[in-house]
Amino acid sequence: MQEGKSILALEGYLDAHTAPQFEKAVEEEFEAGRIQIIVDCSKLSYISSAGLGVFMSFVEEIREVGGDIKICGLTPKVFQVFEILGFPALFDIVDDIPAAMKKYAESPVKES
Amino acid sequence: MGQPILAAAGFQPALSNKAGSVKRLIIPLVVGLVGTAMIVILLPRTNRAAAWGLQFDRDGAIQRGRLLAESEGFQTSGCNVYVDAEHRGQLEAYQHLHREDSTARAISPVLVKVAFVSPDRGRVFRAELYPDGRVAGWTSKQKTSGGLGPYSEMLDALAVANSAFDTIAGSEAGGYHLTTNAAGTKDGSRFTWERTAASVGFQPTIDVVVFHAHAVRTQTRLNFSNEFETRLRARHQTSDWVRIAYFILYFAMMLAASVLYTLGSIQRRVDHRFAIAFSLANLVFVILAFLFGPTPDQIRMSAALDNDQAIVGFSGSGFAFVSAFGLAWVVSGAGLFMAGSTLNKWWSLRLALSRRMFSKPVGLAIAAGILWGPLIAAVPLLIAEIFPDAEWKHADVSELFGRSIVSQAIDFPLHPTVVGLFGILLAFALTRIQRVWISRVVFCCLGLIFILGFEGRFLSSPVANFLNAGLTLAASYELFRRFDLLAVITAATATTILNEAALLFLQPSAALRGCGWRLLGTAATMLGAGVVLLWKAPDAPEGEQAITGPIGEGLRSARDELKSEFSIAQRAQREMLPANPPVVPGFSLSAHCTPAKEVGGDLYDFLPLSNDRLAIAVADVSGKGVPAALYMTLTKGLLAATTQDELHLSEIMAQINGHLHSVGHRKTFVTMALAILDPVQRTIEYARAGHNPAVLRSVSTGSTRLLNSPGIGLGINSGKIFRRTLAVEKLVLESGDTLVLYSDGLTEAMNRELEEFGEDRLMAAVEKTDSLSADGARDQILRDVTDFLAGNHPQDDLTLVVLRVE
Repeated sequence: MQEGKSILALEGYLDAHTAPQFEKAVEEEFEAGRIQIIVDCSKLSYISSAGLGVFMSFVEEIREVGGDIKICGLTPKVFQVFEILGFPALFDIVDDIPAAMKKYAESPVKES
Repeated sequence: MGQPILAAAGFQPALSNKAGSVKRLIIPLVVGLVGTAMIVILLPRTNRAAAWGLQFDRDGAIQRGRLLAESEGFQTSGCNVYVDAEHRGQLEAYQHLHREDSTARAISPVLVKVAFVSPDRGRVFRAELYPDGRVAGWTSKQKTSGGLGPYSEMLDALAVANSAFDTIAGSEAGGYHLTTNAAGTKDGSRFTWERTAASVGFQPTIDVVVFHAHAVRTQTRLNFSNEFETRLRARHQTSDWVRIAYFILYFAMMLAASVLYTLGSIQRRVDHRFAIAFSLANLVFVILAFLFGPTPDQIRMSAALDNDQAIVGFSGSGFAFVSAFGLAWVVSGAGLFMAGSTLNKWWSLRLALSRRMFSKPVGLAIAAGILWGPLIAAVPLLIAEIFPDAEWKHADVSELFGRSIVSQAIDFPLHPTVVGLFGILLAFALTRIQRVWISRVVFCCLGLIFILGFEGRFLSSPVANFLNAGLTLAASYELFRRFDLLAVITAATATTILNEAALLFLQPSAALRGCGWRLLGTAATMLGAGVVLLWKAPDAPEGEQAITGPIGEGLRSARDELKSEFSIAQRAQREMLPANPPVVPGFSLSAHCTPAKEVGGDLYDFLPLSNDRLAIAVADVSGKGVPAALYMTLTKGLLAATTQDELHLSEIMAQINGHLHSVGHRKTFVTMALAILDPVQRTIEYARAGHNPAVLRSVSTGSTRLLNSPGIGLGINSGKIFRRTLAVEKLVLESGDTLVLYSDGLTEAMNRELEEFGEDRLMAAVEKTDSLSADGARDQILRDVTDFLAGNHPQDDLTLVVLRVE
């Protein structure tokens, strides 16, 4: 945690088996009032549609209360999946954690 | 801080499995202990007289034969040695019926033969020994000039013959009298002794042929009365009928298997690579059993004494090779074809014959099978205890004199009897016959015929035979139900090993008993290997599911019920996809969809619009299984509804997005590629809502590109961002152009090296199809994917739609 922001680090495979763990982690942060979330994907090697679903299921609620989910450190392969699905239009996707911090400073909620 | 999401590079969480898998051996372990206890208690109680009482092993036989040869003036040095044993069932049956006949009992049904053959085959000595070491006879052939010799030698000949007769008849010599004195034959002078006492049905005679003051041939001929032979035949009638039924069933199965294999090949559902591996493995075992068993000795021995028989022997074993090889190939192919569509019980056998043989499911099946062996091996001992008068027919005695009993005992583990019964017939009975009780009755009948036909053990008692077969079948079935085909095959091997070991332990010869321990060691090694694999080897994908499932169980479990409901859902879903693409003049269209699970989330559709235009859609719902299938149905409905309203392409997409967003909880979304073809203008409007970019191949410019226009998935966003992001591309088509829409199941199809098929390979595959129709292009692309997967199964639904401008 840095300056009130939560960093969730993903590692390995995020698929139907592991998505519930991730979901629970995001939920805990949200319920504890830590609504500025950064998801560090630098060690994430695979994401399935179930994994992508977790990002989507929370972002609207979090944004309603002024928070956001910002995604950083995507490997090219995982980025491709995000890109095909159109995530760059929905989420702030940046290179690394400092860039995500900077993004929160510039725009706490992604402009739409 | 969130916890890191850890998952091994596999598909299953591996940590929880280790303990779970080993736990699954608890029941087999209990079964194994019970079976072993039964063997330990029952084996010493069996009738040892029926177990031959061998006092020597192969080496002991050679030693005894050499002594006899030397004492008969035959030089054995430099000779090749062959050993074989013969079992005379008629005599055994006679002894069983007439226990009081001491003359008959003095002749053993078992004859061990040792032949010494000079390298040029000019000199041959064959000794025949009884199991207790007594001499039963001999034949000596040496290069000596012909003729009967002078008359003076004839007098000596009687003395020589008498001495040979005494050696053979032993304490029973008084029961015989000389009937033929020095009859001239081409080999020398023949002397014949016949049994004196009138007997019920057995009249043995002892022949001694003397040549140049040497007994060159001595033997005991067994002569049974016609009455006795008729009686014996009547007793064997039941087993004869069963044997005929077995062969009919066997050949019917071969025929059915060949048909299924051909069908499977046409439908491309047969894994040829596995079928070949299966057949090769089978062949290796057959060759090992052949090389180390008694067959080579039998062939060489008869070649030395009688050349005609050698030819018969060779062609017979050749036939066995060919049929074992051919049958295994056909059987396995058919089995896999059925297994692929119905049961998963072939799975670990398939793993065992692939590069993934070192994996948990293989270890589990082997360990469970070995542990189960003692129970099946104890069945005949139990029957022998219940029916003490039943004639227990042991294994072939010649096997105990092969070059290696160990390799002999594990011959033919992939025997078509086990594979056919459990892998094919059971699969058939359980999946093709709807009524459970009928399928059970069919399986029981076929199973009894199979086991009785293959190893009818208790010849004198049909009841004992049926009970033996029934219990063997039940024990094997329970193993199959809990595990799979590989476990049953391993158990069959373990049973053979234990039966042979039990037989060895019943022999007085210490050397043979030692061999029994070596056999047990082999079984223990296999068990150890199985446990080590189970403990240490990596899991294989889908493994637990395949071996755990009580799929194929006669008593349909709740899971089976669910499965059958799934198959209804699957059919309903397949019917929802268009049966045939519409005919559009100047264009050809082709489509394909394979769901990875029983019900899937992929969808394609063709929807007619005004002015002969046609909407072509490929969509993929996130997730798999039933929830995805429900969304797929919803999406199909929304597509039909929105296209009816004559909306613009972007509006169709936006409407569907709005509906999906309002019903969904946003975790589920749909990606879609939608193309609207105007066949008159020869144009395409195309948009991509989070879906994999379509491939456009242009023959005229020789270019292949991905249609990567922006757009986010359907159901993710309420509308504002979706509408703003979505871009519609308009393309003018030319002759020979190809548009390929597909789902991520195609590009993410993964081979065993964990490489994905990917967009580059897809584009390369499309480029190869320039000269083909849409159907041809589709088949070519699917073939490229199949070749790339090299036997691996796609993990996800795989959908492909090809549009080609003529």
